[in-house]
Amino acid sequence: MNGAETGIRRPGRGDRPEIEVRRRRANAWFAFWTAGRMQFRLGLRHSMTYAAGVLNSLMFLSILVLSRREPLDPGSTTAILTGTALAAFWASSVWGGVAILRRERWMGVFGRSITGVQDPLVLLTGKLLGASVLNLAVVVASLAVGCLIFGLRPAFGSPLGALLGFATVVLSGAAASLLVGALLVVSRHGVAISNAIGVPISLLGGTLLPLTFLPEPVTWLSRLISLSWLQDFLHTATAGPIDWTPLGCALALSLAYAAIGVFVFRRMVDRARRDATLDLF
Amino acid sequence: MSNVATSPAIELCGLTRIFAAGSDVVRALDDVTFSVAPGECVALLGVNGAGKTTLTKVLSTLLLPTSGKARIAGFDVVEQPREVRARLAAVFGGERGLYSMLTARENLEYFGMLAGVGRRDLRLRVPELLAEVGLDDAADRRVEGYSKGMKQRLHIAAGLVGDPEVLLLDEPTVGLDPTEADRLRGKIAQLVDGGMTVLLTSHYLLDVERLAARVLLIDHGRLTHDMSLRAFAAVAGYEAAVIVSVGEGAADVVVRRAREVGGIVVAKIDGTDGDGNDHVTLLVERWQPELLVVLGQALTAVPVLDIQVRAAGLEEAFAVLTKGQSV
Ligand SMILES: Nc1ncnc2c1ncn2[C@@H]1O[C@H](COP(=O)(O)OP(=O)(O)O)[C@@H](O)[C@H]1O
Ligand SMILES: [Mg+2]
Repeated sequence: MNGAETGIRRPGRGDRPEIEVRRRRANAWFAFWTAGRMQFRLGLRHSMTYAAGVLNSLMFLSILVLSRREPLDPGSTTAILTGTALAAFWASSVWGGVAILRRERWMGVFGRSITGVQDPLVLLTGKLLGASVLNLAVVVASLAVGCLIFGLRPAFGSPLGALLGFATVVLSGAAASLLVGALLVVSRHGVAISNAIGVPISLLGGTLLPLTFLPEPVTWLSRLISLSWLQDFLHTATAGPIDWTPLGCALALSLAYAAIGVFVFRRMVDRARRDATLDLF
Repeated sequence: MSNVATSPAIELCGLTRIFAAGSDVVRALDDVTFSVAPGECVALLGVNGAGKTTLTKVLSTLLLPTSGKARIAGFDVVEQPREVRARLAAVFGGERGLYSMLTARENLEYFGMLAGVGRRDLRLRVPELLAEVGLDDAADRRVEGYSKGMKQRLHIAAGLVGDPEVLLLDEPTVGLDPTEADRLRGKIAQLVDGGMTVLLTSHYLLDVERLAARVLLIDHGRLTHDMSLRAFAAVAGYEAAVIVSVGEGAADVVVRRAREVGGIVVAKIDGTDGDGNDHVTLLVERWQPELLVVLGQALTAVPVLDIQVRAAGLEEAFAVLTKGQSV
């Protein structure tokens, strides 16, 4: 369905015939799909997609594999691979939201998104998911190449669990990037803040070092980051027996990110229209 | 909705927009009131910083007004932005506002979706529009490689993709070469003939002369004049414009001497140009060749380089109405 298009009449001028025009309507699915596909396409054409996705994943993988002396059993291989995939994906996705919003602002297309017929949040969600899917695909492809290089053979205890886990990773990555993106684009000091919190967030999410390296007093903080739960879940899904609790926690946290992100984004748009805070054009 | 048939296409009532930048307060729009009937093409003229773009932004729901009302086809831009967005398109033009990594076709498909055009209609509309603005050959090239003029044409196509009832054009011919600008004017004239309501902002009086039937003049955010094109052209009742070019710094002398001659008004002084010359535009109430003699006498000993005479037009009317600020 392309939205209900009601023909309305435009008054003609003088003896000119009236001209039929269509009343245009929002169509959330079409908007979501088109925005997602567009961002996916843009991502394919951006060198950053490959720089971050390929380099990060291969770097993480080689650090983990090369630091081991003894040959890897399939269980630890899988653990290493999922851990690496998550770390590399998270690194590219969380900042993806900031990058997308900033780029749209900079190119002067953000104004179009908020003055169109479609809901700007639907558009943004589509774009974030489009970017997330692409990022994950790049990471997984690089890791597959990594497996060939290092001669690794992963085994999945619960393929369904792993699949669900990765689907949640994509959703969670999009939610986190919505939150981070909306927060940072609102702020005048966005660039400074993202530089300042970049490393702590990566540490807490377990994307720089395994979480076991974190000092005791801050481990609870890492529990506020959905990635740490997803690491746990994927660990149980690959090594078995599968434990659904971490997946639930990750989903709940992702929902919270998305809810706060939506709130902040709407406020940001309202403020931009009121105070002209974003130089929109 | 009966609303649509009976309401003005554009209606402003006491519209005010204030920008506060630090301690500076700019009244970019100050109590602006006017209305535009469906199918009208109205030109909005004003010097740089007069508030034209701000007005376009408020009407397109990009900026909220500080106070006052604005309606598009009877729908309030603050209370009913969705209804407004479904009927209006704004073209800001320029280098920005396009996805440079996408092709023209991809840009148009995306902007068409934004405007609420369905998938099936887009499939027909996009190729048709690309051909209309002469981008069909370049349709599948990335926009980053486009010339200014091509980008401008894509902007126009993006504005038209949703077949809006009301089209706001903010300086549509900026950056276009004369042929392209002319072609664009032809396109806009066609839209106006087709019944589209157009509010055209421009620096170029040629655009106005060709397209608009009515002229609004805005100065420091205030609407100062609202008149027909004919009234605008004849605003001061001058028949001819005499442009006197002199060496650098001699403009003051010309102005002083010219004021001593009856029936002449100083309309405009253009600062030193690239050649280091000043140009003074004088308006003549009733043209007769003897005036040149009188003027020649008045200008003895002034280093006059050139004198041109032509029929007074919009340019001069604009200069008179904006009291000598350069266009
Ligand atoms: N975002 C903004 N913040 C502060 N001042 C602004 C902003 N946008 C425009 N202005 C000011 O408002 C006035 C009108 O600007 P504008 O509408 O762009 O004029 P025009 O399009 O007629 O050249 C100018 O003085 C400009 O400096
Ligand atoms: Mg402007």
